[in-house]
Amino acid sequence: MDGNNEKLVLLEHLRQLNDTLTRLSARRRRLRAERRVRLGQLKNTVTFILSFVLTALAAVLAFFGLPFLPIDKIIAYVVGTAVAFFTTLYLLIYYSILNRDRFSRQKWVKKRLQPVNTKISRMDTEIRSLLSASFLDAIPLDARLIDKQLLAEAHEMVVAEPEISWVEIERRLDTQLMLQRTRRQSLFASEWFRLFGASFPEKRA
Amino acid sequence: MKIVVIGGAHAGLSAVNAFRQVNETDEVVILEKNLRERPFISAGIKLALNGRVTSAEQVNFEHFEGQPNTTYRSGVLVERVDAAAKKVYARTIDNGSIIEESYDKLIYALGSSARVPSFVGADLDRVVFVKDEQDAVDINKFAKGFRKRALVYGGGPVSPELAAALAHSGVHVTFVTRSKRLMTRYFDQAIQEDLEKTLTDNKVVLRKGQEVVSVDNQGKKIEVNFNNGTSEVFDFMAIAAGLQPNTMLLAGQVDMRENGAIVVDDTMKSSNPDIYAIGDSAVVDGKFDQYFPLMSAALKMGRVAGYAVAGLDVKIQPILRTIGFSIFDRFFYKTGLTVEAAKERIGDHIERPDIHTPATIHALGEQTDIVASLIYDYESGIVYGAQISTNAPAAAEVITTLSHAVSSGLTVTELAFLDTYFESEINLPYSVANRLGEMGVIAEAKRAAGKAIDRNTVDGDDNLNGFQ
Repeated sequence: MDGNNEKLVLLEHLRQLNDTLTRLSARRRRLRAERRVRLGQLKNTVTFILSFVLTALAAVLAFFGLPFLPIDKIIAYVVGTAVAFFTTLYLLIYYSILNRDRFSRQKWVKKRLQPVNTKISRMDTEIRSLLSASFLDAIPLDARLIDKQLLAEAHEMVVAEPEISWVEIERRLDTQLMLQRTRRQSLFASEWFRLFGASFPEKRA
Repeated sequence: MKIVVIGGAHAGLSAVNAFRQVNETDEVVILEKNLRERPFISAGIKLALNGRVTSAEQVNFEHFEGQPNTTYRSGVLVERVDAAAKKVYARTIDNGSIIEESYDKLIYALGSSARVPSFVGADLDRVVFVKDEQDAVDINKFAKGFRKRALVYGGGPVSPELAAALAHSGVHVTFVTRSKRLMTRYFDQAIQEDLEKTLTDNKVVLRKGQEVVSVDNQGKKIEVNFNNGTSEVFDFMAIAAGLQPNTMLLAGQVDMRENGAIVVDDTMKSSNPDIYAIGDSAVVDGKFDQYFPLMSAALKMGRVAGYAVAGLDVKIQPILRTIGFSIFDRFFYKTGLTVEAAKERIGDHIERPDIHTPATIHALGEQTDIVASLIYDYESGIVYGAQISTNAPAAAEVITTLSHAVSSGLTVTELAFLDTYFESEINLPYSVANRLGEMGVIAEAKRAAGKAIDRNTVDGDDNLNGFQ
């Protein structure tokens, strides 16, 4: 491969990496949203069941049994029902005010969320694996510049000036970046920092 | 000898199964990221929407057959390939541990992934791609419900198929493509017009020559803004904007095309003699080496690599990117080059006669027809491509004949008199393939005589075969 084609292939790989990262990151976000919805549904279900049980217990306590039971059994009946009533009430309040994070750590909730949690963790592993590609070890561009639009501009530069150096490409892209009104971090740079706890190309985590 | 196969989808498994037919002793290790042993194909998405299968995962061809001396490691993500040390490093999805495999021969079959268009909002939740199992789940989820509206974005065969399948399942579909016509890389005008007519006749709205500028969330819907200043609200958007080879692992280690596809010879060997590349990751060097990832080609490439690694003297035939798909009971096929592609590769002396002819004897009851185009070099007479659309499923076989004609370098004269079969309920005695060749012969006779060439022919204006 000649040097020019090598540059174009490398830029193409960076563009593809960016595409894959975009898709994986979007999918992970979608899965997280699905997880939030499922968590909400689980919480709603448990509070609904507890409210229903509470109402039933209140009804039992108020209307049933009292006129028919002999006096020696009435105390045990009232105490038992009251204990059940207040335990349910306690659970209802507990689950109503329990924040989602702590709720999601409960064993039975974890079990129900396991399929979606597995998918999310799989996305994390896929992103980690993607960012471990060996060609990133010697990448001649800064992470900020690994952005779809900037890479397309770099491609045009190489096509127009085959002899252009990486230093010059980086300098021009830097200028482009400064001229852009938005200074949003590139997806690649943010995912790298999230995963490795340091700026590209360092790895701390 | 130890063979490591990266990618256990159709191409990879095809290579392993072929290798095992002739070699039972050498060690083979397959590294696959998915957990299932039956790979997924995107055609399943369409078939599931059409109701032909209950879920997209049911459609597959190759699978791991559990042969001896073969290890199938699923749930493994390959992170690095060191071609110099002949080692592969991978990470298990379950616990993140690293595994290392050394190899004597490497078969690289990591396939392709969906290309993400550059408009703003391509990563929104209601914007889905058309490639894998999760995409299939998402599309099915979004398509369910009353009066759903979908925007299908793309230019390849997957997008009209998806548009038709969504329309079949009751979704109001709009189709957007940057080109002024549909599928410009695959078809020329005659078939493009027929394709567009088939879609619009079935209430698919076409937005041709338009580009999506941005997509914004609008509650549980999305608002799509187009470059002509209009915007429209949809329930979801499905993107089939092409595929790109997953070859980053071999970056700088083997020769690649500018699009990242690994260049291989006719035995699937890359510039590194110990690395074979197959399927959507590779492109075979030659006259017809356009990058068109197709499963039919991937299976053949896999088999060639498998047999070649086992020591058999096999070579792949030119991959003409022969495709076929059906929408609303009409079938579209293509082989070889379009006029534009042929002009780029062969020269400006390209001719394209079109024909509209009955596909069967109409007196028998079925009103079948074929629209066909032939692409040939009028200086040498060699056939370089052909395209067909028809409502007669049996006529599909004509494309195989035409593919063979292109592959063998037949001239229009040879094609006109090629031996073909006739069965009164299936086709006509003078095959469409022959008829296309004959049109070339007549055109060249007229060109030689300095007369005007008739490029559009309609057959069947008599009572027996006509469009009565």
